Amino acid sequence: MLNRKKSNLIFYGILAGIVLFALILRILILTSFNSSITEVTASNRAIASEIEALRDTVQDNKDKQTEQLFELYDEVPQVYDQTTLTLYTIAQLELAGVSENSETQRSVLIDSNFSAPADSAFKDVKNDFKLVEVEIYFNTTTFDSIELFVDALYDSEQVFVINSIDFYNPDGTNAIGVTISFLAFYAEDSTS
Amino acid sequence: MAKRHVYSKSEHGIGEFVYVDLLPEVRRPRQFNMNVIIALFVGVLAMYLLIFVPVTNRTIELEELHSWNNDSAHELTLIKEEYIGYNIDEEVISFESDITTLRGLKIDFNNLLDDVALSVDDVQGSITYVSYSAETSQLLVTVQITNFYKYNELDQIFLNRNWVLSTSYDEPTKNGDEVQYSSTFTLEVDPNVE
Repeated sequence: MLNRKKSNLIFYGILAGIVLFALILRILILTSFNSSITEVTASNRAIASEIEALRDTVQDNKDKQTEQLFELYDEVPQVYDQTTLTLYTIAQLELAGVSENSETQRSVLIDSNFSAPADSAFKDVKNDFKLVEVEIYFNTTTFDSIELFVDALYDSEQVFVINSIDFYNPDGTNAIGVTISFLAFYAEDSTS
Repeated sequence: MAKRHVYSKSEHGIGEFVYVDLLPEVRRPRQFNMNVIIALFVGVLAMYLLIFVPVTNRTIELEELHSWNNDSAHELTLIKEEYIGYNIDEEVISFESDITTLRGLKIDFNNLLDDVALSVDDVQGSITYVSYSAETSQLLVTVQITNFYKYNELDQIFLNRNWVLSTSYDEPTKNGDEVQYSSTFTLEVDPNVE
């Protein structure tokens, strides 16, 4: 038989059950909403980043007049060709007055697998281009041929960079040996 | 236990009217209805506060986020069209930038050597040996001078050149019986000087 005390207990239990049910329902419903909100927020952030990056790119580059690709390939050829490089080097040596004969003992060596040391002056470009080293040797009695050849490399449309030069100062009479190495660059590993 | 109520006593004390309440103590119908109303009220209040209000707020927030999302997607489309309109080729731009870096590595060696020759002339010396390495950015120059004390002066002249970052030189040594000293200068070349 129910008495007042038991009835009161049942009543309060029912109230607690109602509140508990509401709480459980709240958790289930809000979990779904929260995950949707998180998803959409993440999507918004991604879009905002993309807009920012693209806007910066347009701002930085919209006024740039880039050279045509073929003009850039004049400075850094697209493909390496050993014959072309060898002939060019020999031609410049001839123009500098270094012919191939027993006196000059001219030699041209090409290393197409040249790898610059990690801490060298070429560390910023060694991963962007294919580097080819050309080492030449010749005997000369004057400084003129050295100067002419080095100037030819510096003024060339294709980019050549002197890697090393070694020589004893010629006195005009006795022949001294000159070793010059320079680097040629090719775009084989960059743009297609 | 049943309640016993005495309502009247007879005059003569012979009989009494006794009312015995045999019914158990139960809630009156009015009290029962009140509890149901209270329970309903608590239920409605709980649903309102715990579910309706937060769900409404989340719904509004979600709608705002979706709206922002749609606007941003549209803005992105416009910027992409602008990007295409400017014919921006990032590959070519990057390639050109790399070539610019490459051009910066070129050293006008003859110009440097002319500078060195002029400096050596200032101290009445002569160059006997030249060695340059781009990998270490160093120019080695062996200089002969008759005056031992001129080497320090030459060192200062080199330091004043804008393409020289630092200098050092060996202890000058006498060339045999000649009145000539010889020392090799090591000049750190600044590759970024125009």
